[in-house]
Amino acid sequence: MQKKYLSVFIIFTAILFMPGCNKIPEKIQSPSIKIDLTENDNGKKYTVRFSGGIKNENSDTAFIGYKGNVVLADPSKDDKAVDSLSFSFPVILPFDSGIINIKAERSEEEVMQILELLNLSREKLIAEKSVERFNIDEKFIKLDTVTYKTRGIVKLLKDRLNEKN
Amino acid sequence: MKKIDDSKLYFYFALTTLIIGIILAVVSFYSIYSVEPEIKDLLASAENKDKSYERAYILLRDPQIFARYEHFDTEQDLQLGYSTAKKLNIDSQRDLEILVSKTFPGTTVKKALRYFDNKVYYGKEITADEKRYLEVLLDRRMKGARLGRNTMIFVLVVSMISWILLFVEKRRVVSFNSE
Repeated sequence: MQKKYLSVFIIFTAILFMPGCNKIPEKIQSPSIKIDLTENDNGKKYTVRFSGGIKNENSDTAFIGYKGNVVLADPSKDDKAVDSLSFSFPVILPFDSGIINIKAERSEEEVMQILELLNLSREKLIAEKSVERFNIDEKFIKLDTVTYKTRGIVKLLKDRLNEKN
Repeated sequence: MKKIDDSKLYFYFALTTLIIGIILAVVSFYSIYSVEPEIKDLLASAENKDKSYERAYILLRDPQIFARYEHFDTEQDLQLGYSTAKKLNIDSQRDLEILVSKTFPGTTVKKALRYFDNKVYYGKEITADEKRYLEVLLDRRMKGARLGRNTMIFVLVVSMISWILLFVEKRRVVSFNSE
């Protein structure tokens, strides 16, 4: 009987402390994409430029060495990944946003998949050599957090001041 | 018929509230008599202002338990905006809104934290003009400590009432059983 009350007490205490756990970024803010086509002697080169942001909503925790992937996924096919772009930040301070600016080269086939997913015109890309910066609907974008470390902001700032002195 | 003895209930309630009151007292008075005077001295320091402001900010960045940085009072932001506008003789509502929402480093605690975290982390100097925003953070800490102190007083009064009720109950039980 006492063990039952103890386990209830432990679960209740754990629930009380859960709000104090760190909030991990779950989505990318204001995602947008631009695709450029350049042609030279070596052939066609497709450049995908992605921009967006991830926000650290914690009040006293900084993310150190945050690495993640922006995944372009097809929601009609169980979020099957169409493309994935990697990014990293050395540090994201509390309440701050990490601005993602990725430039990546892709093959024609990969770019066509992206155009099809986002319902963009292939003909326009070929004719104008560029698809203008386009805001992506959240349903096509997933954030995949690969790795990160956390550090209390007070300790982090103290260490920085000590390094400076 | 035996009288129901509630003295155990009164005892544990009185003891629990007493312990809570003592914890609140330690937390609040530590801030009021140790941390806040140190911060005030650093902000008032005439020498090595940059280093003093940095040290003050580190102390302020570790919030008082009743004034943590998870929840923000927008009313406080507006009042700070209004008082600043009054000092600058701003009458127009539109100009006031611009001051409150767009003027850096802004009047919100959250914006101040983000701004100063970046400044200290990347080794930039905190200027004398920015000292007033450190004072906003200090004001928040002071209000939290006073809230803790006032809550302590309330809890200790409740505890004292419980101790009195305990003694009254014990006397009633003794006199009832002796009849």
